[in-house]
Amino acid sequence: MIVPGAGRLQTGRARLVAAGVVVLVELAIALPFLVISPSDVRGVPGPLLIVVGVAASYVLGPWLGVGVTTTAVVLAVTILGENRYAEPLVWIPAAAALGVLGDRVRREDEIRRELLDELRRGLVSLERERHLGEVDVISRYIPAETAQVLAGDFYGVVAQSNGTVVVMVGDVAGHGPASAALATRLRAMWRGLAVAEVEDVRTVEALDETLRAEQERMGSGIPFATLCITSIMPGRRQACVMLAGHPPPLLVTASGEQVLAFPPGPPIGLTPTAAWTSNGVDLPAEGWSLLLYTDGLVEGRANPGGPRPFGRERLLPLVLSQQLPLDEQGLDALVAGVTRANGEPLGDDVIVVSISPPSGPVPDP
Amino acid sequence: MLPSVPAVGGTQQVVEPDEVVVTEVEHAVVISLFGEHDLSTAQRLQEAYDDATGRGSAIVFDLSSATFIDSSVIGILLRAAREATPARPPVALVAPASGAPAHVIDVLGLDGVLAVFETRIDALHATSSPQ
Repeated sequence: MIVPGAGRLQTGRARLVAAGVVVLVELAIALPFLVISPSDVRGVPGPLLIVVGVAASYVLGPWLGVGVTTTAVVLAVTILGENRYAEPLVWIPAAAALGVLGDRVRREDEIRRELLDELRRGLVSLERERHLGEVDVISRYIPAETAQVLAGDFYGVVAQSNGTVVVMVGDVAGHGPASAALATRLRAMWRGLAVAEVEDVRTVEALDETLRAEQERMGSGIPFATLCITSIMPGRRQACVMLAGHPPPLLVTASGEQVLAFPPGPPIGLTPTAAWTSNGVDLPAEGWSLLLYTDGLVEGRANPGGPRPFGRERLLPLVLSQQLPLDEQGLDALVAGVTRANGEPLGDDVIVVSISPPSGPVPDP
Repeated sequence: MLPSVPAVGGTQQVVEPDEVVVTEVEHAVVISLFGEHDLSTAQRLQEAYDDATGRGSAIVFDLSSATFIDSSVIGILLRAAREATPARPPVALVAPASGAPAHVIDVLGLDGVLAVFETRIDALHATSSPQ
């Protein structure tokens, strides 16, 4: 299940408050002129100043616009000795300018949210079907709720024509739009290579080469990305796991965890001489789940206010307390358990993907 | 219990948790991390590193008192390691094998990329020998 746009941006409200403060300061500046200036009337039309205010805000941007409006009002009140309209002349253009400002902030906020949602949509798998070949694949993408934090966690699922199901989970180091945008590119590129049935090691080498080229273009910034690519081979008794600086998947059966211990290759994007290997893993016949995740799942607090990290060793009992193989409710309970231990919403994005033998009726292809 | 480190001049200095402390030891600048470090403290670490590079001495990141580091910290360490060319002073890490930082470095498969040492003495020794 995808939860787009869960982290709302707060900047719009902050800027609105700032605009309010500016208008109040304007009024404070204008007020003495209202008191001092003589009361003869020479008819400067208020609407003209409103037009000046609105036009200036649109053409020059909100801040300069408000400045120009203020100057126009102050000039009208002082030089022209305009006082009859003085009060509304100050209030109305200021309110108009504020309206324009509010409108702009709203539109900017909309664009920002759209961009954020679009980036997040690009991070997750295009696959919507739960039953894939001989396995079920369910996933959760939980964006961090902290405002402004856009992370580079991404994942993909592809059922190849030869019956192999490939699941990839990755994490571009760093936060912000650059990390997320790079993650969407790596996700899309991985999918293309997986659909073309390019073997895992060659795929990682290609992603590594691309990331280093992107770094060159971006001028550093993103130091590396981690990847875990896991293929469930036809027959469902063997998996191939390829790690590039990523935590290994958790293979859980009713009797506990089968530790997948093999040396990880380095993250991608570090050095042209890096090498990766694909590792074979035997799978039980039934009753297992293979859990792929990004580090956000295990880097929260061990208990509310307690130390970090939550850690992989606390994840296992949580998984084992669910019915195996993991279903949708089980996966939700797992994420809920980790979040509860943290004592507050997790501070980083989390992706968790569970691969299991199918439970329930498998639809006819 | 708050850890304490010898400050410059030999007096003891009490250190707050989640702190970045910079000390100068002979030929090297030692940047020590205490407690938990993530994106929220990465800026301080980056500043300490930027400041240290200006001094032209070797740089040792001491992670032996860090209880948690995330990928933001690793990113800074990797950039530092990458920037340490023959023309620039060397960079070394202190991360005892039993500690959390060593575990993170292990999972990331970075043993071959970062120069990691068990003790500060080892790291200082390694950075003092001619490259």
